[in-house]
Amino acid sequence: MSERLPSGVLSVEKGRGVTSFQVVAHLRRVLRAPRVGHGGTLDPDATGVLPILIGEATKLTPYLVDLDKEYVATVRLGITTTTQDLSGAIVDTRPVPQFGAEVIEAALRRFVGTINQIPPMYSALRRGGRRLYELAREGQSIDREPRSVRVDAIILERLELPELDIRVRCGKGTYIRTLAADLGEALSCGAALAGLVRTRVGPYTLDSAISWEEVWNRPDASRLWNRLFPSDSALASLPAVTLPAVGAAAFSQGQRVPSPAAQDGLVRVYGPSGSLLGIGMAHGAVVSPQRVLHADPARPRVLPA
Amino acid sequence: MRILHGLASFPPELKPSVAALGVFDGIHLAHAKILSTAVERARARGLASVVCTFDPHPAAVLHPERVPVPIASLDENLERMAALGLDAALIIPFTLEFSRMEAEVFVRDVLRETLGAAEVVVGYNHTFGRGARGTAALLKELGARDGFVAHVLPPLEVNGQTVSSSAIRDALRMGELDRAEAFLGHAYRIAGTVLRGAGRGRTLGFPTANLRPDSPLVLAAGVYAARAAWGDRRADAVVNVGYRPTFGEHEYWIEAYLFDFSGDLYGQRLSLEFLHRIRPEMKFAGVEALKQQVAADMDAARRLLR
Repeated sequence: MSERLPSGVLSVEKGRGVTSFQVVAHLRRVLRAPRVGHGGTLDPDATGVLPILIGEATKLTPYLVDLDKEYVATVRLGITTTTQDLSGAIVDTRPVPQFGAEVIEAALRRFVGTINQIPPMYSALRRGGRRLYELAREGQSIDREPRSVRVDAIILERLELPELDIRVRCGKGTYIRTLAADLGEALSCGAALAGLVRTRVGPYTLDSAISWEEVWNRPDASRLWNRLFPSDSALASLPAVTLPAVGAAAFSQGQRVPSPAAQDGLVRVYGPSGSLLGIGMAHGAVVSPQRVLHADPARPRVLPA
Repeated sequence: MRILHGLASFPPELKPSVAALGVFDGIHLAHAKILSTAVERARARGLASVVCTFDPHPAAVLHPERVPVPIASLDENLERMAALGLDAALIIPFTLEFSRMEAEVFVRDVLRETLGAAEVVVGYNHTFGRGARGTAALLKELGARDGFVAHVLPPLEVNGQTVSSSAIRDALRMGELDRAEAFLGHAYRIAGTVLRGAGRGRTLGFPTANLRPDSPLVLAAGVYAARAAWGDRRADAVVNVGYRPTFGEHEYWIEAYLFDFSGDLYGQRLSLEFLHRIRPEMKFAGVEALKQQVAADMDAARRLLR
């Protein structure tokens, strides 16, 4: 029976105060779908786009995590905390000078490009088999290696000292809390993240996400199933190739097949009827399967615009 | 350009034609390429060039909850289509019933019979017909079988990025007007109706027009230098775009100060072309600080718009 459930991506708005995993567990129950996952954790206090992968689409998790993201972050200047946001204990408070917009914009420019971030102690990263946040809760602080992350653009949208709103477009693994704290240090007054909304994950924007009200307070399984984006919506940035019937059958069994791709690299692979077969790596004359998806019943394909 | 609503209004004298097919929201550079290809092909063969488009946006009918925020209104799109030299625009009312038409039937009945299309131009990612089965590949196949030419235009890149409506919306949300304009080939413009404002500007000595745009705005909050147009009048403007943080992304207000104009625009149609971002949205301690900032914004806008 579960084999016949459709698969795809639900772009939902996560509400405040729940973990990303609670949203997954809730939807697994509501939809009675055995395989549900999410495409990139959003902190409990953060709201905004959380793509939920259902059925065969759960195989695409690693590709979703790679997608660009966009956030609107509210930063409180003059305060530093143990968690880099307002959920933690206050470490210190400092006076906030009457900064003009230009001073803050100049400071923000230093965080655009490939930058190094020291991940926060309160993060889900593991060290020696334990989560850093577990160690942090025991009062430990250990040395963390800086990680290289990509910040494509930052814009100062609102300035209302001691608070400001920035909109950030970035690559995977960027900690916005850390960006806020580092901005505070660059301005010498310290800062903590006061609010975070994820406004986009790859092609999934907040406009087209299912509202938290509809996800949490009055979930209706059939309505939710209707809002499913097809699995390939997560892969819109990869070039598409279509295999002939013989190649499609071989690809679906995990075999390398002759490549119709123009360039080397990851490709989304379709069968002759237009159904997504999976992700392949095109290299020279062949495409080798990276992930093979099993077919869904035929349904209209509408990609998020 | 003749504007035709519905299949029945298509006049026989426009047959045979070269048809450009698509939704064309915002008429960005890739759209313009498709449309001007149709114009060029039509002129080369002495045929009529026709754009075949849909209203409302098909997504608004098929998936109303997922409809993308439009970049431009239908009127503005039609205006740009006319400027590209098309002879006619056929606007097909998009309904659920229409969406159920099989791709082959659409090609036979609409493109071939109604429009008499000798050549059809589409973008690489355009799909049509029931279940979006009508792909560029199918169109080429049907063309080869039925004897019409299908031109499928490849993705268009600007600065290494594919031009698309979503790339434009992404740039606008980040306040990157230059980047949006590089994809659009023209400035981002909105149109709407002037509301009775809070009267706040007037008490400060800066009369402002509060605009209710026809479709939701896609733009970072902040203050912008813009060009305003209403009736046959034009004026430079400083425009404040603010979001009300407590209500989601689309609750915003647009307040325009028009240079060298004093009068009441209440109820009038006004368009704003956004050219430069001046500063973020800010709150001021008092009326004096606000007045000073508005004066500085006006200087900045005059410099930028010169």
